[in-house]
Amino acid sequence: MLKILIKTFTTAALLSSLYACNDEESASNPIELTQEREGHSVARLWNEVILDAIRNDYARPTVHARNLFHLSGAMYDSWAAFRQKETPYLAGTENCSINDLNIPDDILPLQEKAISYATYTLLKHRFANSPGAGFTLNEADTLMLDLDYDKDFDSTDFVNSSDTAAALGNFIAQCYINHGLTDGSNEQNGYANLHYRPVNPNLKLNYENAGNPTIIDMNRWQRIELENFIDQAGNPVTDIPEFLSPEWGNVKTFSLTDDDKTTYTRDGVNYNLYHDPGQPPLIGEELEQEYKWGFALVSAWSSHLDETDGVMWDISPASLGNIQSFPDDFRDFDQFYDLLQGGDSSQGYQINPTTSEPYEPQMVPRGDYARVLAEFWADGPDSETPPGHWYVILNSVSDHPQLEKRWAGEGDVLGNLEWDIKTYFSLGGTMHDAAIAAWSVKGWYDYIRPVSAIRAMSDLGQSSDPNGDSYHPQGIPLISGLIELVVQGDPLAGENNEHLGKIKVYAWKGPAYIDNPLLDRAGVDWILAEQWWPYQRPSFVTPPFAGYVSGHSTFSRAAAELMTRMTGDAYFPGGMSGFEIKANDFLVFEKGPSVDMTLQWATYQDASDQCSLSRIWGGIHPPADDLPGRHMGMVIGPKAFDKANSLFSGN
Amino acid sequence: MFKPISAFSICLLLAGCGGSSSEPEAPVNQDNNQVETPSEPIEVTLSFTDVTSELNINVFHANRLGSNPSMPSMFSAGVAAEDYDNDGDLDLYLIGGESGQNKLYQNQEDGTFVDVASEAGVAVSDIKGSGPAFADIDGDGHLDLFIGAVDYDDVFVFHNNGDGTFTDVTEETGISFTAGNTVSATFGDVDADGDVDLFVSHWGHELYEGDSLEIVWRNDSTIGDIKFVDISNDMGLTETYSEQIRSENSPNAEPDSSFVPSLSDIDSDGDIDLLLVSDYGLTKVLRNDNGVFTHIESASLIDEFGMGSAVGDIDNDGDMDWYVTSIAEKEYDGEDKNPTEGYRGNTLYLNDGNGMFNNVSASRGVADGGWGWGACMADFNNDSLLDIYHVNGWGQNGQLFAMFQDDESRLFINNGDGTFSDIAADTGVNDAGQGRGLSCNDFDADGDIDIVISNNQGLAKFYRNDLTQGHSFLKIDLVGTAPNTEALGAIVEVDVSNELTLTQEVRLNNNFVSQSANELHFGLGKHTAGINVTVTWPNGETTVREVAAINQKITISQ
Repeated sequence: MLKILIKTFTTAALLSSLYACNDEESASNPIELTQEREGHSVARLWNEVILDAIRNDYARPTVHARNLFHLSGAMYDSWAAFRQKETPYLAGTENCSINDLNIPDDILPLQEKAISYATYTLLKHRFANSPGAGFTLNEADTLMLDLDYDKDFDSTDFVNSSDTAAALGNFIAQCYINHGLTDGSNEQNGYANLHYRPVNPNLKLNYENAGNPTIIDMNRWQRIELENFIDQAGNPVTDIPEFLSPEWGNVKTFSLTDDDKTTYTRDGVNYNLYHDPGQPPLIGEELEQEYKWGFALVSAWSSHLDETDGVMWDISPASLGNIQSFPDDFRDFDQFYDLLQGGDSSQGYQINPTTSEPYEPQMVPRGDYARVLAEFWADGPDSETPPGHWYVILNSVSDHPQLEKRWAGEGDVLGNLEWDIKTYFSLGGTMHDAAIAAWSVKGWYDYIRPVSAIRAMSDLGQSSDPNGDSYHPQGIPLISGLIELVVQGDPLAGENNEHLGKIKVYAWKGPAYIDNPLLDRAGVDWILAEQWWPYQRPSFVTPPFAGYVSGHSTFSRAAAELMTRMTGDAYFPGGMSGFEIKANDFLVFEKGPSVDMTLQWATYQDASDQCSLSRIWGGIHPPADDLPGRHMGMVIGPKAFDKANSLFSGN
Repeated sequence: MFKPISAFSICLLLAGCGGSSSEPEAPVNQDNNQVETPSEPIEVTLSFTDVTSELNINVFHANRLGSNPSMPSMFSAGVAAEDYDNDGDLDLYLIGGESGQNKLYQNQEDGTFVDVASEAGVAVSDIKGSGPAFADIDGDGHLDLFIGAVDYDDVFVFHNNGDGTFTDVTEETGISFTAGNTVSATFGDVDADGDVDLFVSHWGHELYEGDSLEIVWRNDSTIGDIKFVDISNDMGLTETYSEQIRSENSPNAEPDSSFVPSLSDIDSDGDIDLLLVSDYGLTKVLRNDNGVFTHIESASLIDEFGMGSAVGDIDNDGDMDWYVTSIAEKEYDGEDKNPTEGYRGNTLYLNDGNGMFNNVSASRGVADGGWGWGACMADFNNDSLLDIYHVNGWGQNGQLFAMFQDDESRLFINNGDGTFSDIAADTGVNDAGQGRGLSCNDFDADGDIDIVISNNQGLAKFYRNDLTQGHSFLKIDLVGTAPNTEALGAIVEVDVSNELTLTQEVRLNNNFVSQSANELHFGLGKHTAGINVTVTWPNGETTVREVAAINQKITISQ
């Protein structure tokens, strides 16, 4: 742990080199050495603690988008309170007046201290009931100790207190705590749902259960119940998670306004939707073909999760990325996604604009690439969740030696602290709005997940050949080599031909084939569709909320738009960023990948687009969930940037 | 249940020294044959002080539990104590868990510690580590380090380079587990070939036809080249576990649920036997009969959920007794039936001298330890009687067994009449964390046994023993012949004034996910003279030594 204490230099030699520009003033006041002046950003130190706190909490993207926003907001307010130019966010508003704050000449030491107290106090409040509460508190205490701050100082009276900055930080934290109790999140009741009830009975899953016999409405979400389920470590899993945040559209937004909002009513309860994308393809309605095509595609792409199938892809920016446009209409989605081979309408790039050299191709098995993507972007249990993942990406961009920290790519180079404060706040606001918008749509449309839909359609039969066996108009469409019927003599027919006429899919075989995830891989083969599993942890299966629209797509596209605007460049510093993947080390769901590789992205949007596709290979989103989410992110990111920018400009 | 004051304030008569302090460097009495004359009673008071912060020890163990924590992520953690840098004091290696980083606290020769994990190359992070253990695996005189892990996380073997650094040699060792949990580890020379072999436990290991238990690993190392071969099958374990192998006829056979491999020569025949403490009533006594383990089944083996393990001669009769922690019945305020109804708790087994154990726990006052985990036997008040300390705790709010979450550690002081009294709260060592592992050693070299606790999802704790003067002690370090440089398997008998004989085995006590250092510590009570030591080395040779000066550490070489 970094251990740099705030201290005052006393030797003449150091004094002379540290005097401020105003010689007259500084001759009597040596500059206080601070984290920033030592080359460290106190905001970054706290951000690492926050991300660790999230990793040790429940995997709740909505709750943590809000936590990241509020914690970044408290940091920003603590910093901006001492500034003339920037307008704080909550501080200075009606119930959070800072009018009487005394502002000295050398504000940096006070800003750092106020940031620390604000974050420390708010973090302790927000993570008090976390399963990792003890760990998080210890991390926070340790950082306070390292910064030489008294963690027990709890005054909020920044006017009369002996320690203005510490008290201001505590005061601002209290503003956010109070705000959080009235912002519609129901934080005081553990973010519990007030009205939402699922219409479908639970989908009971274990290695023996087959199909989806309980479903009532194939357009609506279904809870997953792991029944008599023992995970790979031999532990009984009994959790049946509720829908996470179906009423999140009621939460107070950052930049989303009433103009962005549509209100619907169900069972007497209002649902606020932001950037309503309209209803997804529904079975029994006009877009039934698109419904069936989309979920069939998820099953088809599951067959790509085999690194031994001989299919090699160039995963470098020479071939991937640079997507120019997306279809708007569900009926055109088959022009964007490659049903059989996987992937999208990537064009790739001729030249890296920073080096003026072509991107070097990187050929890897598709089955490794698809599995790595599915796990790299999973952001499920044990992770910092998707909004936190974009903070990790932001931090790696901020650490890049080729990044010039000019706000929006213009003006003076900012100090580390100011850069971090502004980018964290902007990203927090963006992620919070993305969460509200995506979950507002999830709660209202309540759309089914692939594991429910694929099993339910397959239970009905096939919908491709009205004259063939097992026909049902709402069955799964047949795709030769990928989705077929079990016929006489098929090894899957069973000893007594009990599976004859059922649907079989060529797909990833599922967790029942993985005894030891370090050594075993399930592989791809023909399986009964009633046994189809998404490529996920067997104890997790699918996130506990509706699919439409994809949170990953909304978060990622909004973040990509924001990153582009904040840095003034669509490209990562150096024209490319990447993440090293080690063979047979990276995957945790099963053994693999079989080769080393680097996930590479030229632009922020390329990273975002890849994140979106990964959810399809991961078996938890059909295309219908994805592109509308990306469209929403395209609007949310720029609007949040404008809002932050306007505060930074003093408006 | 226990006497509030006098239980831990031992009044005794001392003379000659008049109650004055006894310095380790300045022995009280160098005349072996002098008989002390009582003059006035001196009260010896046992108390502990939590000096974790004072020593700047900051290890918060945390695995990411989330909403659906695995049991291994809740029971793992760990600490190992040893003198890895051969400077004469005891160092500490602590597991930080999935969210933390392991730390190597180097003892600065004065009982203060500095974390040198990064410089030493053992700063493992983001791993659900479990059960670290130091041993001189390749016989080069420097202690190497093994670290287990749970939930299929990576295990490590680090070779000690002898210059304060370690090299990760895991890939080259031949060690590879299909079992997902490697909980506790220890070392001993099971095949009498002169080097120390590896023993590990694998709770939750489902067994199928043809699987190895992966418990016993033969050491095939040469200096600088650590190699192991799985000999579990050769040792007869496949046969022993035949009823636990799954097949079509027995699809629900119990997995190997072992928690702690304890090594001891229980039948005093000169070879190492294996006490494999296991969950769900599956604890096994495995007697070494000419290089193959014979499963000794006995109706007196009654532990229902064997978890922690401690071995020692607790009744000073010359053979090794055994303490197994488990779960005790506890008050329950739920509306349904108490899920712990009938749970018997910890078990104390006394050895009959032939390696057969008799359960005596109920009558001795050591059964109720809450939800027990790691345990050690040590003489905390230097009265020449081994005591028992064990950590405990389980569950979180909302879970079935949440009533155990604030369990306080137990210190069962040996009353000398076969009974024990829990004085943990009175002596300030009733740690309420989720204790899993512990090391019981004299870290500050002041002549009494301190306690370091590794808590799951909590801060590691260092409890300094502040025993007042008045009892004597003797510490013995053995230097064995390479490759068994620690002389693991030797027996040390300390004859005290011809009145009693204290017997200890040289052993890496692994407690549960943890290891106490191999430093023999004998409390001598009021005795200050007439001390004779007999060492029976692993090869059967003996060394007899008259001890001229007590209250110090002596070294005896093979």
